[in-house]
This record gives sequence, C-alpha cells and structure tokens, in this order.
Amino acid sequence: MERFHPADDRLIALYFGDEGAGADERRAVRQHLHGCESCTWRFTELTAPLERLRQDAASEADEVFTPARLDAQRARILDRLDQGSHGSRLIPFPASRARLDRSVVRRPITRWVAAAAAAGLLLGVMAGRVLEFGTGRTVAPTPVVREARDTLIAPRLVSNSLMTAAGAEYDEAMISEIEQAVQSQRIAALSALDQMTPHVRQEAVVARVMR
Amino acid sequence: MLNATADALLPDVPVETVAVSLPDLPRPDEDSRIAAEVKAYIRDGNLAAARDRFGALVGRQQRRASRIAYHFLRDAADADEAVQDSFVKVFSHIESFREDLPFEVWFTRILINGCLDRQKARRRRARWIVPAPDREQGERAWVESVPARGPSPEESLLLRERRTQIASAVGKLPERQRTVFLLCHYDGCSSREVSAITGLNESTVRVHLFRAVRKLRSLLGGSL
Repeated sequence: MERFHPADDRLIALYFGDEGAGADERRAVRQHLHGCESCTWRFTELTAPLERLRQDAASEADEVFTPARLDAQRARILDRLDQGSHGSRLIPFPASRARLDRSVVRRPITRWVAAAAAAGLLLGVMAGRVLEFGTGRTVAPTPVVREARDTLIAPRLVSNSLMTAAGAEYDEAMISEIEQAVQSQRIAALSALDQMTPHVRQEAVVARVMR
Repeated sequence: MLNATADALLPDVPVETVAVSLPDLPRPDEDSRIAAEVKAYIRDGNLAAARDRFGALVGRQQRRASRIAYHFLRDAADADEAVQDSFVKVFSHIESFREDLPFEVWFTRILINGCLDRQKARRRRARWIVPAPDREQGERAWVESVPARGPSPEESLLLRERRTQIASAVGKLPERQRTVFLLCHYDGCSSREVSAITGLNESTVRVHLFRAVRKLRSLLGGSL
C-alpha cells in the first residue's frame, strides 16, 4: 500500500490508462486503491461522470450518424473520388492564367484605390453640406433649370389646384385642356391615324344597336 | 503538402517524421495494410481496384471519423463534409503514407487539421454574417414533436440540455486542451497516440488532459 494517498491527477491518469507513469507506480496505485476505501470512493467519484460523459458523447454522435447516413457519406466520398475532385479551384476564363494571376495580385491595390475614392467622395459631399448649412445660402437656379421648372412643374400644380376647385369648374378646365392639347401641332399630325382607328365609344354604340 | 493547413496545434512537423520519433506506436494494423494496398494499386495505375479497396477503408474508419468530427464541430453537416474532405485528401495524398506506420494516426491528423480549419472559417464567418435560422434544428424539432416510443419529452429535453451544457463547456476549453480531451476521452486514444497525432510531447499531452478535466469539472460543477 502507498504511504500517501494518490492525488486526483494520478487517479485520472490511471483512468486514462496513463503509459507515462512507470509500471511499478501504476501497480502501486492500483494496490493502494484495493486497500483504501476512501481512495476507491474518490476514484469512482472522479471517473464515473467521465465515463458517463464518454458513453453519452458516443451515443449522441451515433444518433446523428445513423448507418444510412454513413452509407450516404461513403457513397459521396467514392463519387468525389470518381470525379477526381481535389477541392475547388479557379478556372481562368476568358483570360489566360498569367493574366488571372496578375489580377489576383493587383486586387488588394485596386480595392484600396476604390475605397479611397469612395471615402473622398463621401467627405466632399459632407463638407459641401456642412458649408451650405453654415452659410445658410441657397444656390440660385440657372436659367435652364428655371425654364424646365416652369414648363414641367407649373402645369401639374395648376391641375392639382383645379382638383380642389368645384366640380364644374374642374370639368370645364379639363375639357379646355384637352381641346388645347388636341389642337396642338404635334397631335394634329396624328389626327389621320386617329380617324382610321376604331374608338371605344363608337364600338360601344354599334354593339348596343346590334343588340 | 498534407500538413500545409496545420495550425499552431500541429506545428511544422511533417506527417512522416512525427511517428518516426515514436517507435513504440502500435504496429500497423489491418487499416494500414489496406492503405498500403491502395497505394500500390495507384502506383500500378489500377485506379478501379484502388477505389474499391479505399471504399473498404472508408467503411472501417468513417464511424470513428464522424464521431471525432462531430465532437469537434458540433454540427452534423459540417462534420460530414470534414470527414468527406479528409478521405478525399487521404486518397489524393496516399503516396506520402508510410506503410510501416499506423494509418489511423495519419488519418486522424488530417481529419483534425480539417476540423480546426473549419472551426477557424466558422469563427471568421460568425464575425461578419448574421446566422440564419437553423433548418436542421427545425426539422429535428418537428421530428421530435411526433410521438415516439423512446424517452419521454421531459427526458429528451433534459438530455438535450445536458448535452448542450457539456458541449458548451468543452467548447470553452483552449484549443489544445479540447483536442487532447476529445481524442483521449471520446476516441480512447492513448497519450502516445495523441502525441503522434498532434505533434505534442507526450507529457504535454498529459498536462493538457488533466487541465481539461479539471476545467470541465469546474465548468460543469455537479454534472462532472
């Protein structure tokens, strides 16, 4: 029997079948365990949860990797061997390999350039905003912008205001707008085509008479 | 090279030289003999025979490999891919296998390197990508909602919680401790075999193992 009780590490080492310790030492620990009840109890207390853990881990993995799944795995491995799969690789298309390699090498530099350009643009926009906000000044529209605004936005504003007016006024205004539009030069050029085309209104009248 | 992806756990020690310094390793077994046959067939250009024999080798090793990969990665699909990649890698590098050494050690080394690479890639992804809901978990939840003859829902829930706790505790171990613990405890490798697989000194393996057990006991409290 050992003079001193073996430490926890020694007991755990015994459980793991520690080959590092000498054969004599292992034999001595085993003999001590046979003779010392408290150490036997300690050994059980230390190793029983480990053993449960091991068995549980094995059963958990076996639940996931069922025989069917292992068969499928084996089939996939053999398929990959048949295809000569050696992992993914880049196919240089349409450029030659040399060009592809060069572009790969240059990639980080171009990425930096793009990032720097984007950052510069962002800074410029922000600086402009800050300056504009600070001075409280607004940019006067150029003559071209002013003209476009008058021709494009103003009629829409008129129409919108008409929508809020009384119904009769609105109808009249709309009809006059249509007449003006029909009489305009560009629309008049298309009037021949319009006459040749059957109108929904006429077709509806014909259909009613036929009935 | 096979060990091109080896990380800090497996330092720049070529696969072939690790086992040379460990003459007491178990003698080559049946798996090593089959691997030697595959190698010979490939050398002779008989790829069909090599493929057949390699299929037998896969059948002998895949359950163990899947367990190891699953405990490392904690994800069935990831583990499945890691095992596949390892076998494909073994086949394509079979020329560098030494017939006088155990195939299992060589293969496990390749598998663990693959698992560690995947873990790193996963950590990188986790930094940038928001994870989507786990489809497999959803399927599993549906399957588990169907009445079965197995354990009761409460028992299943407790078991699942316990497994999650253990997996989380094992996941908190430092990389070397975790590798040593998984190989020694779950796979039943001796410290000498783990030393050959990881390239670590045998006494270092034992130190990592004890530290891992101690840390797990403190993390899991009464459960361990």
